[in-house]
Amino acid sequence: MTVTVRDIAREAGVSIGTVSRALKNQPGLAEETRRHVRAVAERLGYDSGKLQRRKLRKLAFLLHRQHNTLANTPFFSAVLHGVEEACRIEGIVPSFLSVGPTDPVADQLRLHDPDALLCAGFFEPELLNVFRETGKPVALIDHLADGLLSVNPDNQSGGYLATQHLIRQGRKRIAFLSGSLAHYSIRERFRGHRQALFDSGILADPHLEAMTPPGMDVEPGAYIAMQQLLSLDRPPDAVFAFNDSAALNAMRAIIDAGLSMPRDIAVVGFDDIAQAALAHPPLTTLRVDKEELGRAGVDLVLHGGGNRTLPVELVIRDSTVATQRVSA
Amino acid sequence: MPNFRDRQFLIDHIRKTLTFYHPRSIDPSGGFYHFLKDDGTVYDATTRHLVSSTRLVFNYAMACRHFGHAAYEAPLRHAMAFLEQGHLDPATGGYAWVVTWDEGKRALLDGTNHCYGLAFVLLAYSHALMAGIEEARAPLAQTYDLMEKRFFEPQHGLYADEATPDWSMTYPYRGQNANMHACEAMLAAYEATKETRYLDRAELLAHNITRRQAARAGGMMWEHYYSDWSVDWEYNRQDKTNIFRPWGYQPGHLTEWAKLLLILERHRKLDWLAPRAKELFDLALAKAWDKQNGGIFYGFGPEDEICDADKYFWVQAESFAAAACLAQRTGDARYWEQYDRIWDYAWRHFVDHEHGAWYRILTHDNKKYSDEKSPAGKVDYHTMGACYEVLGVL
Repeated sequence: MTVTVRDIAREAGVSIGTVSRALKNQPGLAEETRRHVRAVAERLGYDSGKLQRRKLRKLAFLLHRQHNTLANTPFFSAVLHGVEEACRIEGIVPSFLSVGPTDPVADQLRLHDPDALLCAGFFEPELLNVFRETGKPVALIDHLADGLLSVNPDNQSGGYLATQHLIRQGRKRIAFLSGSLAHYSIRERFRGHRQALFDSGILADPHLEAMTPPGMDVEPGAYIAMQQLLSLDRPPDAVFAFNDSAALNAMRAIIDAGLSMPRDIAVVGFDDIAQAALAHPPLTTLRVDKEELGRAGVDLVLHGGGNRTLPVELVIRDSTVATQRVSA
Repeated sequence: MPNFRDRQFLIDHIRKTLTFYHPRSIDPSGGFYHFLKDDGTVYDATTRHLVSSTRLVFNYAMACRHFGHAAYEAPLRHAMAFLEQGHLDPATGGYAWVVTWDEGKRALLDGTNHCYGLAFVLLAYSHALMAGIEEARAPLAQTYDLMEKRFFEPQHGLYADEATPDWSMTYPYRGQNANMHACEAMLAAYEATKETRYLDRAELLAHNITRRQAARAGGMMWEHYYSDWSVDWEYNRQDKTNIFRPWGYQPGHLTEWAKLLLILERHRKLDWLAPRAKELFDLALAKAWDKQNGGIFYGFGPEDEICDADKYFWVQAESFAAAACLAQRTGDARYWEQYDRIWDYAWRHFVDHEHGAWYRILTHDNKKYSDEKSPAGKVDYHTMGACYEVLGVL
């Protein structure tokens, strides 16, 4: 015999309306009650596919507060742009919320009352659990976690292309300027970098791996990390920075040290934010289709499917290849 | 006579030319009216040519940068939108050469894919991006990729010219014109994105046309070639008025190349660029300046004979731009004299002092052929573009 909402209500000792709201993740009841009802439904073997799902109307776009800084804005605002565009086409209202690990996130989310969550960038596992426990569809952009759908740029290939390009330019001491390896994207870019060194038979010198100081924003952090690299007895002749913001700040340190790019040191970034082309010299980088990341994220959260990887493209500018060359 | 080297004169002249087209040629249902009589009357409201559509993007992008976004960003976006609305075929990636647009209803008139057209699409998106329209970034790269896939021939280091609408066949004709405008577009794409690949391509095209191909045709660039890039001396010999592929050497293209070589040199200091620019300009003026009636003739043949004695507006415009670039580059006052001489002629005969903008074609003795000031493809992109170029070197 099939289990009905009425059976669950009787068993859980609540009204039919409460059961319905609990199973559809609608507001209007205590979180404790919701858990209780869902546990009862699961025990009785209720087929939740029978629920008439409310059409997805509201989507919350979540960004970790550590990403919501000026340095990260060029990247994530482009992603948000793609999210907004996809939502507009689908007739969904997006809202934006930046969250931190000590925030009362569940309460904040209740104000937004979203039907689905789209989370961009890094989040601590605890925060991801809060998202999971809402019971709403969740997708990740530029992050990876067990049991959640995600879309990412091809970080590993990008890291590989960056370092391969530097090797082909004849660079011998190629540094990697890293951020926190808690970030999936940075781990993957680092791995691509090392793979390219390995494939060329170059030993990875640990001195050439610098990291922005933990907890510090990328702006001062990348500058300091670059200074450390430049103060080595044998400094690098090239640096691959984990993203463009880090690369642009590393370039400041290079200029302040009186060195010339690309003659003394070549620099590659990642993301191709708008500022990359405007830098002096213009920055070689990996182009990521940021708007498409946003659109693909909306598509994932609406229609599911498997994890996705978007291709990246090496964009060569003057920071690695001197334009002002003189021909014979 | 005004002082043609005065910045304010050039700015005023651009403004006046712009006002001939703006806002009267805006079609609220999409795109612009492309066909204007001397007094600005629209004489064909529905035919839309890719060359006009793209050049309008250039005109408004430059207007945004020089005269402000308040007045010109909306029409710039309007112009850019029409490249997709009116011309792009999403199925093939190509941009239709000619369409009709009637109150928002689009019909295909000629879907042929021209490399010349794609060069102007690339130029349009590059200038839109330089004017701050971020949405131009993706189609800019897509257009380069499309040219690469469909027209670029690495064995020749040049672009093929024309293909059927569905890309099933590329025609055997090869020409320098599409490659010249591709070079111009690559320089703009480089300035907009700072991506080295665009500059590399501009250099390759410039080298292969102005040196390699020129060496095959008496030191100057012939217009037409067979598919292996050997010179086709006979192409359109009987059709001397063919608008995009006229027979003969084109002095206007020699001077236009001179200008492009000097723009290329700003980004890449190759030692052959300035001398070659000088040669090409000097040759063009020596062979085609009309000592009797003034102005530069349209075409000359292999025996230095003037094969088309008409005067075209764009030839004069590109030539004064090249003269100014050379004057600034070489410091040789002779080029400022040439600049003034060409302007003086154009000011007397080409500029419409009553309604604005330039007439298009005059007879050898400077009489008008028709009252069609701007048919398909004109929109005074050459004249305003030339003035902007001079502003950059003054």
